[in-house]
Amino acid sequence: MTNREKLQDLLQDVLLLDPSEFRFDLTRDDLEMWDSLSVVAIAVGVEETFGYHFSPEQAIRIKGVRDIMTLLEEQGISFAE
Amino acid sequence: MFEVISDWSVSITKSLDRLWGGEKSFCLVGRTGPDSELVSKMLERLPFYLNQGHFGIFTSGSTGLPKLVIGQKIRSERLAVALNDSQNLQKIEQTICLLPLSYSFALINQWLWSRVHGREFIMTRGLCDPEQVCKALEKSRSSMTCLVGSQVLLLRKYFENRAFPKVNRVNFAGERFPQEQMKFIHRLFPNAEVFNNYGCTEAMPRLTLRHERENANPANIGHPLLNIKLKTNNSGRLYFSSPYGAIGVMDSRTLQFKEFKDWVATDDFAQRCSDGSWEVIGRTNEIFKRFGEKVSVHRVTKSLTEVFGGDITTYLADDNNDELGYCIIVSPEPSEIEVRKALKVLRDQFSRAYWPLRVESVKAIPKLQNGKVDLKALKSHGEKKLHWRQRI
Repeated sequence: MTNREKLQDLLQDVLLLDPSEFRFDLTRDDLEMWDSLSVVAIAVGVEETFGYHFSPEQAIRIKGVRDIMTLLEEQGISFAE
Repeated sequence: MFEVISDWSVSITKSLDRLWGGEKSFCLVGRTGPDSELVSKMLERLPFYLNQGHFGIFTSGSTGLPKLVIGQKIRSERLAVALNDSQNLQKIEQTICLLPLSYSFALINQWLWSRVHGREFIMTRGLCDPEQVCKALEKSRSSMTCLVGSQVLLLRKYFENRAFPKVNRVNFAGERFPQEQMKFIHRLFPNAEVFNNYGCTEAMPRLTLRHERENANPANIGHPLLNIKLKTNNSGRLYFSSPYGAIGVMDSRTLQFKEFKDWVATDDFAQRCSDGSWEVIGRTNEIFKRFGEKVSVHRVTKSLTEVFGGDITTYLADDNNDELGYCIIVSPEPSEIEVRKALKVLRDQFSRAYWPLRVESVKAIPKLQNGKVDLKALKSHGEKKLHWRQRI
């Protein structure tokens, strides 16, 4: 499973998305259920899946899927297709 | 002082006849009730004056905590009369019992009713012996029976294409009323009037009654029986005052006495409807605060019942942060599509506080002898399959 697929699975799970609804350019504004609790859930999921713990400052900066990928890429986790 | 009788004893009705008619008090222990050592210890703590026309029912309840509910014979006999009048049972000649007699519903609504009114009581081994039940129902003359909602699934399995026209009254209690199964129930019992009975062992056991046709809402429990009063407190918890209710409840630590005028708490939240009937809106162990929001588990399971089709139940559990939440368990194992549909329902209809901690499945949901979910066994079930979980 690629890192892209792992991240997609995680976000679908946390945000209760159907695979057909998922896009890598999704933002918090697109999804009503992407609330502050979802951010915490995403952070827990990222740690479980990629072994990286977002700091509170980083978690606050997350506005969409791309932001998560950027933060993880800074840690050497590649999302290349 | 209290004579102990087991509800799986072959001579249970003989023992009941002897003990009910005599001065001596007795208590009934169900198959899933506490062990004999605990029963003896609890009975030793009872004051001597309870040995005068009293009886007790040991129940482990769905919580698994042993409890002795003490009734008074004369009070229960009055309830048997009230039930007879409110359900127009004058023409019913027999009652066919498909439930264990340690279940107060069967003991009072059936065995005691038949004793007080001189009708025939027919004991069966319940739906673990469908052939015997079938024969009893076929042979009956103008009869009444009492069931719990979960037995409908088994009745459908065993008697899908049968009909028992001699059964004239069918009472449901103990669980959610199977309103959506009425078509099948009327096919199975074509001449029966069907009632939703609400109560609890502490009420020994009935509080309200509703004819199935009076309301289409399965949560509607109808109107209180004669001389019974209901009220709710500020948070909506349902209380009752009943002249027929238990006079005492004992658990492993305490013995509490109840007076007729006392308001006794049930384990339900309810509301009074505009027509004076009552509606149960959830169990007290199904409503709690999560992330500051008041969560009704009943509302969620109601929405998911159609998605999963089979059995669905819940149990409370703490999340990773020790905050109270709940888990959903379904049976049989759902397909991936069903799980996705369920998650979509959660997302579309409920805020995150309402979402379960986990969606799991088991081959069969463990049940107590009285048909209720065995929460203790469910929580410790070793073969739960995880389908989805929250990360917080």
